[in-house]
Order: sequence, then C-alpha cells, then structure tokens
Amino acid sequence: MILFLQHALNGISLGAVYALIAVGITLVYGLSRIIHFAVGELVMLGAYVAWETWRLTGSHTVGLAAAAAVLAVIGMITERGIFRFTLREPLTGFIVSLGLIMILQGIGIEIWSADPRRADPPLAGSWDVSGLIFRKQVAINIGVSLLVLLAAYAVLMKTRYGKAVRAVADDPSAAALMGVPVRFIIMTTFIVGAALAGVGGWVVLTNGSISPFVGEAYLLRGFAVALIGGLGNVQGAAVAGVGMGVAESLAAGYGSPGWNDAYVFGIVILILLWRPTGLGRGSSGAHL
Amino acid sequence: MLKIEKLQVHFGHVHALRGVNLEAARNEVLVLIGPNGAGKSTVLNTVAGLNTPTEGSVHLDETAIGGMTPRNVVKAGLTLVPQGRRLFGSMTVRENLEMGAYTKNDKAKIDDQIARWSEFFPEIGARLGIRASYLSGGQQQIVAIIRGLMSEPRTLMMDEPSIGLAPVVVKRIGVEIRRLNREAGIGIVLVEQNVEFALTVSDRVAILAQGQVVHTGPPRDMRDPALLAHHFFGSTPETEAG
Ligand SMILES: Nc1ncnc2c1ncn2[C@@H]1O[C@H](COP(=O)(O)OP(=O)(O)O)[C@@H](O)[C@H]1O
Ligand SMILES: [Mg+2]
Repeated sequence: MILFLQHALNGISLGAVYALIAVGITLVYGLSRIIHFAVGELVMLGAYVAWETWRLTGSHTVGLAAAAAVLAVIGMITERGIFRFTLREPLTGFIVSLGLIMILQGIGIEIWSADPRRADPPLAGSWDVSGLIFRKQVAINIGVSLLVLLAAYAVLMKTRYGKAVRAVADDPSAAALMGVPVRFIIMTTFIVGAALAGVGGWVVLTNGSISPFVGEAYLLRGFAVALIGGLGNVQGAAVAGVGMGVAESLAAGYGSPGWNDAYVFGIVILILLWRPTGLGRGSSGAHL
Repeated sequence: MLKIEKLQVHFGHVHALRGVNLEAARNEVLVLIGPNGAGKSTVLNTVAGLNTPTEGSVHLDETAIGGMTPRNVVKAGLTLVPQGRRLFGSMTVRENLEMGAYTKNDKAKIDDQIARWSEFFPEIGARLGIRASYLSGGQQQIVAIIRGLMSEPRTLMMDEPSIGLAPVVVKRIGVEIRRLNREAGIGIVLVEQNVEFALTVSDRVAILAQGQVVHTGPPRDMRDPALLAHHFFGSTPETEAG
C-alpha cells in the first residue's frame, strides 16, 4: 500500500507538468484551432531560461519568474510573427509548428550543446510520513503547478478577460459581435500557453536534468492529455494530466520499465477509441 | 438614422451584394424580406463589420461605420442579433448577458440592467445561472435579444428572430420589438422570412432579391401577392450567382 501511494504521489508531480502543458495546448487549440506541436520545445526553452537564471542569480524563485516571463514573450513573438498568418488555415499552423520544433531545438543545441544540464535542487531532503517518502522539492513542484493551474482556472471563470476567452472558444463571430477583439484574445492564448509551458520547464529542471531534446516526451504526453481531457476543455486537461502522471508512475513502478511508454499510450489509445473526443466535453467553437 | 449606400460584397466569385441602398430611421421598424440566399444576412453582417464591403458606404447618423471592426460598430451604437441566436452555449445565461455588455465597464450598471430584464422576463430571470444551451429555443431567442440590448445600441439589427419558434412566442417577440422602438427609442432593422410576422411588426418593408433592394414600401405591400411572387419566385433566374 505504501508503495502504491508512493508511486501515486510521484505520478501527481509528473502529471502536474503534463496538466500545465495540456492546458496551454487546449487553450490555443480551443480558440485558434491550431495544433501547436512546438509546445514541447517551449518547455525545453523554459527549462533553460530557469537554468541560466539560476546560474546567474542562484535563485530558483527568480528562475521560475524568468521562465514564465521570457516564455510569455516568446509566445507573443511566435503569434505575431507566425501563427496569426495561419489563423484561416489551422493546418498550415500545425505544419509551421513542426518546423518550429526543428528551429528551436537547433537553437537549443547551438546555445547549450546537447549535453544534459542540471541545477542544484532548490530544496533538498524529504519528509518521511510513516514510510511514505515525500521529497520536499516534489511538494513544492506540485504546489507551484497546482497554484498556477488554479489561478488560470479562476481567471478563466471569473474575470472579464476569461469570459471573453470562453466566448471566443464557443463562437468567435458572435464574440466579435459583442465587441470582443477576437484576434487580440487569440494572441493572448499563445502568450498564456507559452508561459504555462515555461513554468512546466522550471518544474522539469528542478526535478532532474535537461537537454535540448527534453521537449519530445512532454509534447506527446501533453497532447495525449489534452485529447483525453477533450480538446478545448481546460478542466479536462488539468484532471487528465494528473491522471496520466499517476498512470505512468504506476506503470513504471509495477510493470517492466522498458514497456512504460507502451503501457501509457496503450491506455491513451483505448480511451480515445472508446471516446474519440475525449472524456471531457470539448470546445464546440466555430471556425474563424 | 442608418444609411446604406451602394453596398457591394463579394465572397470569392460570389457577388453577394450588388449595390444595396437602404435607409432606416430611429423611429421605425424596418423589415427586410426576400428569398433564401438573396443576401439579407450579408447586409446585416456587413453593416455589423463581420464582412468587408468591396464598395459602398454605411453611416450611422454622422459616423461612417462601413469597413469598421465589429467592436467599433458596437461602440458606435449599432448591434446585431445574429441569425440562429448564436448564444455562448457553454456559458451561463448571466455570462451571455455580461458578454453583451463587453464594451461597457460599469459593473453596477450591468448588474442593474440584468436585474431589470430579469424582472421583465421572469422565465429568463429564473435561469440566469443555467448554461445557455439548456434553454428552449424561444428562451434562447429572448436571451439573444437582451444580450444585444446590453450594449445599449441606438439601432438594433435582428436576423430572423422568429425562426423555429412557436407562434405564441413569435407574437410576444413582435410586441417586444415594437415596444423597444416606440418606448426605448431604439431603431430596429429586422430580417424576416415570416411574412405574417413581418406585417404585424413593421412600419416599412424592403424587399431584397439577388443582392439588391428591389422594392420599399408600407407593410401592406406584402398583401400584394403579385408583387411578392414577382420578387420571390420572379422573372429573374436564381442561378445567376452560382
Ligand atoms: N461567409 C460566406 N462565404 C461565402 N459565401 C457566402 C457567405 N455568406 C453568404 N454567402 C453567399 O452569399 C449569398 C447570400 O447569402 P445570405 O446573405 O446568407 O442570404 P439570406 O440571408 O438572404 O438567405 C448566398 O449565395 C450565400 O451562399
Ligand atoms: Mg439569412
């Protein structure tokens, strides 16, 4: 039982990152219909920004803020420079995002080389709750991810801006008729999505080592989670992210390690065969 | 006063509006009728800023609103209640109404307006917290109209508000539309296919056929079967546009 709980706990911390990434994917898709595959590379960049900041200042807190802020700017640059021109052809946006993966990875290798990097753990040590080992850093990471997700959810549900985002996801033309600046709102989802990936990158860094190729695993899982949660469904993405992390951690703990990905994506495929639009209700938004 | 002059709209090779001229005063209910595909929705959508006209001008009082973004058109005082209601289905009725006031910032006033409309339409007031997609068609249409009014327009355009509704609901909406015009002083431009409804609600009718206004006159003109037949099924073949 202790072992099970231990795996589940580790899974929640993994899943929190998936949830962060998936919420960004789902927001961007929900409003622009663009499947933004370069999100894994945004996680990678966030991790390196956090690493560089930590080397410079010695502070992981500043690293977290820098990762979110720099990635927000990168999100805006990609939208202004690229994705806004593909809004009428979301498939083109998808292809462009594939190209972006190569470019960002190339930049990563150029600047930081392919060697793995790591930072001193921000918080060493662990709590031992009757046999259940709880690394302090894991608690921090779960806390940060959860806080960020809850804040995003609160903004989405309670603020004027959040309501505009949901309105555009539901029906962009009708939202425009209400006076919502639809293009601007779409741009903000690229900014928010990238910032969330940046926070995810920080969590990845504080959890272990990073390399320019670290994005790939998060991309696949992030998308699987977004699909299971119902593309366009933010709550669904958050819940499915944690579920995915727990399932993955349990599979790693009880199955043969080499089959880990096979187990996880086997489950993903079964779920999507059973419910092709995911378990949550997706966004029904009309096309631009 | 809404004034549309020589308005032309193309969708690719489709010449949807071929020089539309139309005026609507603040103190009247103008009904635009015409066969399917005549371009009625295109007129309203273009005036609202959803389509970009290839030629022509639109004025709301002194302001040239042709080619403006939808947001600026709303700010200028003109709001469209689109065909098919188009509520935000995943949002509550209250949130839908709040979205209608998106260009306004006075939270207290917005709440006040919602409270006033809730009193006026108790069946809507009782459902403010419910997802809009769960309402009946008639209730959704009323919410769509109130949502349009939340922006406090000087002129309100409505695209087929009667479609798919029970006759008793249609009658009620007709009464409300006339009241809005006479008591609140909101100019009304209405697109309708339901000739009976158009007759009871309008002060003046305009007939649109193949992207042009081919007739304007008093409502009783619609009692003239020859005129209607001519413009609805008439001499000019419909295949021209395709
Ligand atoms: N967004 C659009 N893209 C392409 N063609 C359109 C679009 N909107 C309308 N049309 C075309 O313009 C013509 C007029 O359509 P519409 O204004 O919807 O007619 P109505 O409302 O009178 O039934 C039709 O031929 C229609 O197919
Ligand atoms: Mg129409």
